[in-house]
Amino acid sequence: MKRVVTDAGPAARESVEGVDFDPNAPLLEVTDLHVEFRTRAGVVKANDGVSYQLGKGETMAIVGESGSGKTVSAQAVMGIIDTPPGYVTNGSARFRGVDLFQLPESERRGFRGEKMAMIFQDALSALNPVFRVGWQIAEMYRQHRGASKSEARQKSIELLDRVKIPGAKERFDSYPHEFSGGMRQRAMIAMALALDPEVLIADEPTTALDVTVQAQIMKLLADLQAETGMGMILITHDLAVVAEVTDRAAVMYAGRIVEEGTTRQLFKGPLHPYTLGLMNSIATPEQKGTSLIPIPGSPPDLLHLPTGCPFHPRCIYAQAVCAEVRPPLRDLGDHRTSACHFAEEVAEVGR
Amino acid sequence: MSDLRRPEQVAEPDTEFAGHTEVAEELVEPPQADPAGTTSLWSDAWRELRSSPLFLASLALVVLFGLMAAAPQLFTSADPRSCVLSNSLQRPSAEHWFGFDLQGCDYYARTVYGARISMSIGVTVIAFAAFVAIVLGSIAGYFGGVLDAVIARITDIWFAIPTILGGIVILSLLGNRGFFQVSLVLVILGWPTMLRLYRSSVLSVKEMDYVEAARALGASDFRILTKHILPNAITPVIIYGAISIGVIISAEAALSFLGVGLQLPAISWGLMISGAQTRILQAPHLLLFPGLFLSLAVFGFILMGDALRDALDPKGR
Repeated sequence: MKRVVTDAGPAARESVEGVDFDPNAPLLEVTDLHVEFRTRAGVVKANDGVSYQLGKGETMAIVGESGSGKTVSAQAVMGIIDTPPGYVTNGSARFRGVDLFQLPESERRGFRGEKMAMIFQDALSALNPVFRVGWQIAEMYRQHRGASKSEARQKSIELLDRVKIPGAKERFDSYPHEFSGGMRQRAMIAMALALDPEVLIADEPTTALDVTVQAQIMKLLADLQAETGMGMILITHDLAVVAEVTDRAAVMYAGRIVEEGTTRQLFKGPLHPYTLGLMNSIATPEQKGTSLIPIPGSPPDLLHLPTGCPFHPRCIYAQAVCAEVRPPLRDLGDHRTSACHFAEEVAEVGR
Repeated sequence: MSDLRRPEQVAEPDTEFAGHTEVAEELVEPPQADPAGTTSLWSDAWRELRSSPLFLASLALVVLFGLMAAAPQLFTSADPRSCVLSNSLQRPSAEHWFGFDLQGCDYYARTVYGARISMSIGVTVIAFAAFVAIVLGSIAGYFGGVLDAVIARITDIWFAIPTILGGIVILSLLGNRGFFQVSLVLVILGWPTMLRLYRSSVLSVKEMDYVEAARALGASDFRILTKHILPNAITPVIIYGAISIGVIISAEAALSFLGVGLQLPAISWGLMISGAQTRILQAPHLLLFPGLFLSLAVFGFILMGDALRDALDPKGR
């Protein structure tokens, strides 16, 4: 077998030892991912057959309420689920054709940071409080690239500059708690991008920030993505953010993807009542004076999922069949899927 | 610290009584966006410690006894081992503040020289016990599972052995008991508490987002343990360690007093107190002075531990 170098980029990219990439495979392909948490109270199926693909330069959203399993799917792909209690029981996650789940931990670690990186919701707690921010970024170069101290410092300052931290040189020596929320997230982004990863998973990167800063961070991420051509998975429950920056979106509910399509398609005509409910609960200026239509009820307890379609107790279109038969994720053409028995009818309503 | 501090910080008073002004400063100071006024946990703690009378008193005691241990010549010109029997049991006087012991040795010189063994046993024992505790605590807390269960159970069993009783049993089996043997026994008996402390600290720190973030960016287990967990989890061990140095010093004295610790001709406070016990009424100074030094040294470390705990616990502020 020969080692395949795709879209070479910086030479350092091919640094995962002994791994053969498939040039024709998608950047990231998650297939039938099952993750369960074995707790005292029982087994929670946090991901129950999740599949999606991410191409180079593509931004994909994974949308869902808390507890829908969106973060877990990302953690599984990154290989940072705590075991016990979490176990990946089935499925594959292929990075350019290489199934990450089949690799030994030592090789897998080579992917993290180098090929795939992740940023977190709360950047304050995601930065080590006892070290200076610049030092933490510089360590990426020193540890992974063997850069010298001054070289690493130089590169880190450039990076801080690239994520638009004003006065990067002076800021290098600050501690995380001396940064504002937005700056911390920028620093976290800088750290994640230090080694030019090809996939960036952003787990609710703006949830902890105020609205104006949110917009800046999203713009930064979008700019950096355009610059580097990396694939980005944006995990969020903020539909405004989804609408703004993503190409495609997958909606998750109770550990499964219930609808997937391009962001445009999803916003124009949802094919699942849950997506429809999410869209209806966005406030728009035209609705001024009228009240929003929330989704009734609350997300299901994953330990005691309803029979049939897990969304049926909250669904205003539910029929008898919904309580009995769990709808599969159906291909509805035009690269769209929906897990609803009545997707076609929902499409009518959505319009 | 950098030179680019903001004016109000530069004006920070350097006196011991800075406490009040600093409270005011914190109120004026915005919580963030302070270009270079580097405040970390330790620099915050240091600022607090500098103005804490408790800490300054403990520091004075620890430095005093440390100096005494390192350079006893600074405190006395007398040789603790040149004894004149005709001076036996002389009471304290203007020339010989602490009097003489049974052998006619200058008791002040002996008490001063006694600091060396107590201090070095205290520090050595805690350093080694902390090392063992951190290594095992890291493994148990971070990796969990079977390793944790095994280490935790061994610790529990160990924990049940009282230090002094265990010390008596082990040391009485050893014929030759010097610095090394006594330290070793105290290390063996001293690590369990620290291990439990560090393990629980690791358990809470490993759940932090920055540990997950580090893993997501490709850090190895060893790196996570040393760079991310250790600096954030070690505080309780430092506090407990400071207090324990005092406890170990008194444990050494107790073992020596009971006749299973150090042996003559070693000069140690425990041995001196032991030698004094038969003549307490006849020559009370033989008990008084080493007892006083021992108590002050122990007190100094315990006080320091308390002050550190207050300063390093952000919730206490």
